[in-house]
Amino acid sequence: MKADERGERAAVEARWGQSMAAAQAGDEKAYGDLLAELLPVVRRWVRSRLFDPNAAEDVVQNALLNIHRARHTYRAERPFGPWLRAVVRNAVTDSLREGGRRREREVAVESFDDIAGEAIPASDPLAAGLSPELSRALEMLPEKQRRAVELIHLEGLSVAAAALRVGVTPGALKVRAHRGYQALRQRLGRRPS
Amino acid sequence: MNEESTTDLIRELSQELEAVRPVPSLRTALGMAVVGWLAFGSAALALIGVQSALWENATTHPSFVALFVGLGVAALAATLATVAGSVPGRDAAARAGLAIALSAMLLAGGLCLLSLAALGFDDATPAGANAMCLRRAAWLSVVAAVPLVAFSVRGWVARPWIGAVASLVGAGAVASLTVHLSCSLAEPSHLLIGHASMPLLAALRATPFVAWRLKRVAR
Repeated sequence: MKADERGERAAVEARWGQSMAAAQAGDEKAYGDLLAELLPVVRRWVRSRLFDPNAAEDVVQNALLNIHRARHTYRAERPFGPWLRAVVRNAVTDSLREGGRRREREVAVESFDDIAGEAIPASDPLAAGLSPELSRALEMLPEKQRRAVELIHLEGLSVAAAALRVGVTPGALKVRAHRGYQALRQRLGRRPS
Repeated sequence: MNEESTTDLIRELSQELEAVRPVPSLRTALGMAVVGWLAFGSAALALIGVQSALWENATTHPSFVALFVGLGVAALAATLATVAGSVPGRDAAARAGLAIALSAMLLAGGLCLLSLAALGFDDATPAGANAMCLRRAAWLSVVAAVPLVAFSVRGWVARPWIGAVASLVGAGAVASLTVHLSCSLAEPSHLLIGHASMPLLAALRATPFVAWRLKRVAR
């Protein structure tokens, strides 16, 4: 990298560091602008490390969640770049490490349609569009599993956003949703396609 | 997972933003730890007493001094590793700290072994002395581990196992140092077993539990 490119990059990272310091003080606008600026950078890094483009956006969201959870560990007098790279690298490493385990224990979100027996647009209100049988089966789920299924498939939230709402990691939320799907499938007597 | 939901996530994260207090700098955290260790050690020595033969042991037994230095360096370096390991981007400092801590323990232990060899491996340690010092060090380690684990939890637990090892080696070293200053026995075999082994034992015994707790906190 040429000297002027390095200088430009250092200036950009310094600005990000200032934005993060403002975010630590509670400045929502600075934080939102910072995350929006970081998004293409994070996306590029993640896509260069993962072969599966479908999984990449999932990891991008996990990386943003990591940035959010670890924001108190950044100190304004330190360079922002190494901090950011470490946080994103951790999200990628976790994804690569858990990839195999996740495929074994989870069911794709789309298979909820198999369980429901009809397509349910994600934008429908919770009370509408569900058969009485499915509504009853949902109510019988343990609360955590029901909430996971409702947030992801009925309210249409991303896994990361749903995890944030509930206060757990995306991986933990996926496990809850998967167990919910399995329980629903057993109750409704449906087989996976 | 689509890019639109990522945009939604950014909006949610911004709207739910709360002010946070940044973690202390590495230097400040290390300084706090040293002050804490001195207070802890002073309180413990006030309870169990400083050995009466401290000066004599220090001037006549090289392995005694070597172990004192080794434990002190290990305590500081492992504390650095713990604190640095809980801050993203400080991996190099964390790795260096852990490497220095383990090297210091190995060197000190090696010198004790050499002293023992020079005596023809003649063990004059009174019966029960090793067990007594190890028991004391074990109890002191539990107390000493609390602030180190608290440092890890306050930070960001990206590598729970390494964080656990670093904090336990540090706690074990501080505890052993306190016992070292309170025990009048200077036989190299006793120093090796009763004083030098606690950091390693603490790490071996308690790492799975501490790592598990750190993982749960990270979720």
